[in-house]
Amino acid sequence: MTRYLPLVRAALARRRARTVLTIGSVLIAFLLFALLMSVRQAFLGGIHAVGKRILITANVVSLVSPLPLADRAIIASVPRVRRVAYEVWFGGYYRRTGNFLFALAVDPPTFVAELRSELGLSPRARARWIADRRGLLVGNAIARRFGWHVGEVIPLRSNIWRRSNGTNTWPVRVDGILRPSEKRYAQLALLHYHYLSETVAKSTGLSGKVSLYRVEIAHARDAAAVSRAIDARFANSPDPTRTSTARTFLLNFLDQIADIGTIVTAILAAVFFTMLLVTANTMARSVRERTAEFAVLRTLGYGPGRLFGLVVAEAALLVGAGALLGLLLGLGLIVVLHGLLATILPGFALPPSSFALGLALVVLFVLASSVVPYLQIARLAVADALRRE
Amino acid sequence: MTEIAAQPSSEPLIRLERVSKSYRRGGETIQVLDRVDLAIPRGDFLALMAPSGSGKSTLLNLLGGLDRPDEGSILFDGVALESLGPRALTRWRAIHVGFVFQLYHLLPVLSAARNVELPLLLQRLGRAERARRVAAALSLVGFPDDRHTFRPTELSGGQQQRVAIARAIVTNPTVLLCDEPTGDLDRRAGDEILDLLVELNRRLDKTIVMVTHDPHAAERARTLVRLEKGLVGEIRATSS
Repeated sequence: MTRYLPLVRAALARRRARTVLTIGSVLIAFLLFALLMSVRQAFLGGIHAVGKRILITANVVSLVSPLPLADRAIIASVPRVRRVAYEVWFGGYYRRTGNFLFALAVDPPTFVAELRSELGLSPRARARWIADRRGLLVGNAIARRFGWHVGEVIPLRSNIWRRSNGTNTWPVRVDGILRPSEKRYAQLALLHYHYLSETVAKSTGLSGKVSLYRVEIAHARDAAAVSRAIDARFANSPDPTRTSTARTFLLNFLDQIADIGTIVTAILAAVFFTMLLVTANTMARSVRERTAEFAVLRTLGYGPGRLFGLVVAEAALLVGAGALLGLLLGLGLIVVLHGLLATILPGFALPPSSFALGLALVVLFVLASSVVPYLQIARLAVADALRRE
Repeated sequence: MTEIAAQPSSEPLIRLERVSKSYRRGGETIQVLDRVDLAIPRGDFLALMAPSGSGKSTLLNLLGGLDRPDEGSILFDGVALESLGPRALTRWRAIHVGFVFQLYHLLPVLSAARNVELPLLLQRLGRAERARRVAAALSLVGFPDDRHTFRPTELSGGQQQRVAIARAIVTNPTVLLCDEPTGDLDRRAGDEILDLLVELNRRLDKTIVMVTHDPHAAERARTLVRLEKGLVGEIRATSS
């Protein structure tokens, strides 16, 4: 097929401005595709990695309403529950609010037990942190960003909680740096729950309470039954609960911000539909302008199928070039933005599956934009076309 | 109805048997060819002369398998073209027919050599072999070596027609169908093209069917056929 390449190239070079503009529109579409898929990945990418055996129990009212720490023992007593951890959203930042940190106050032994393999933490650092009430574990992305080292004392601030001494600063010591296998943990900052609980102002109502419980169960198939059993225990308590899988919990939480998946899909659908119209119009006009040339090629022995193949090759080159350039430019931008958005969107990266999806879109658009040219070629009356010329 | 062509040679290469063709235009049926019988011997150079609208281009299209007759049969070397399906007809055309048009119909975005190469792309030939055949064809039609890379717009009318003829003969087809090949050229360039066609007919024994309304061009052929109102009116040998 390469022998036809000069013919295809020449056809595209026929109207350079139109070809460049069409490639440009495809480029923009795929650039947007790359960026939006990265945003989607940042919000939803971690969901697939969420353990299927983890349930989240939170106050049925909202996440802002804490649950008593005493509930832990009750949850732990529910059959088929293996382990119960808890955490509080700290709302941390370093020096100024722009330096946002994904900080959680947790129960160190259970947290480490659950994520032992994922955290990438040495046994010595783990032991040091568990024993150090004012200890802090930070992801390597944070440590790198602020230049923190093990042993350094950091004035960690909260934009939610206040201390009983009137300040919002908790001095913490860096006990270890996480080198996790998953990028999302590289942005974590973990401090002791008890340090927070014992020093937080009484007026906050946090003392002796937690934001949520992380419940590990033996088998994923038990999730629904265990969830119902936990919620039943607290149905008539002052703080009724809602238990769901970690994945459902995360999706519901993100839905409160916005339906990211739907928004991204809607924008991309609009962009690609417009791109399809542009490309299809370009191809249809190109073929219409060359009716006589196609007629001549028919006289030389080119069948309709071969001519259609040439048109598909033109469309493939047009869309393929635009898509490739768009994705490459998008990748470059994502690399740049990844650093800038590290704290806000830590998972901002183009997922590998996007390349397969992009390729599928290219094939789809090539075929879709070749439909009208196909009809034009199939209906070509050679004698008439030559006579008209 | 017209008379059967009385051709001197043995079995003809092309035989038209009671071929009719009509078109509908504005609700009216126009009979372009009416039960035409014609035999074209192998190696003949036949000129079809007729006033405008009398069916000469239609006849050429039928001979080249670009159109199908309403009635009758066209036999090419014993094969009835109407019996061939679209794919087979396309393949047959690629092997047996070379077209030359009045307006050359070269692809403007390709160089002269690339234009000549077009029919060869359909064959399983290597790049070097294609280049060799292209160079040979262009040389045969007297196209200057230093202009192979020129685009059609950079060539004179006569040069463009030479490229078109080279494209038509590069696959060594059985028959050349020429539709007013000198119609867009001045007398001198036209004569050169006619010389070339005569040369191809005499030296390479190419069968040529040439449609023309120019008596001067028609006299260069071996046989002259006049079409009148869809019928073959006269067949005679020329002085060439």
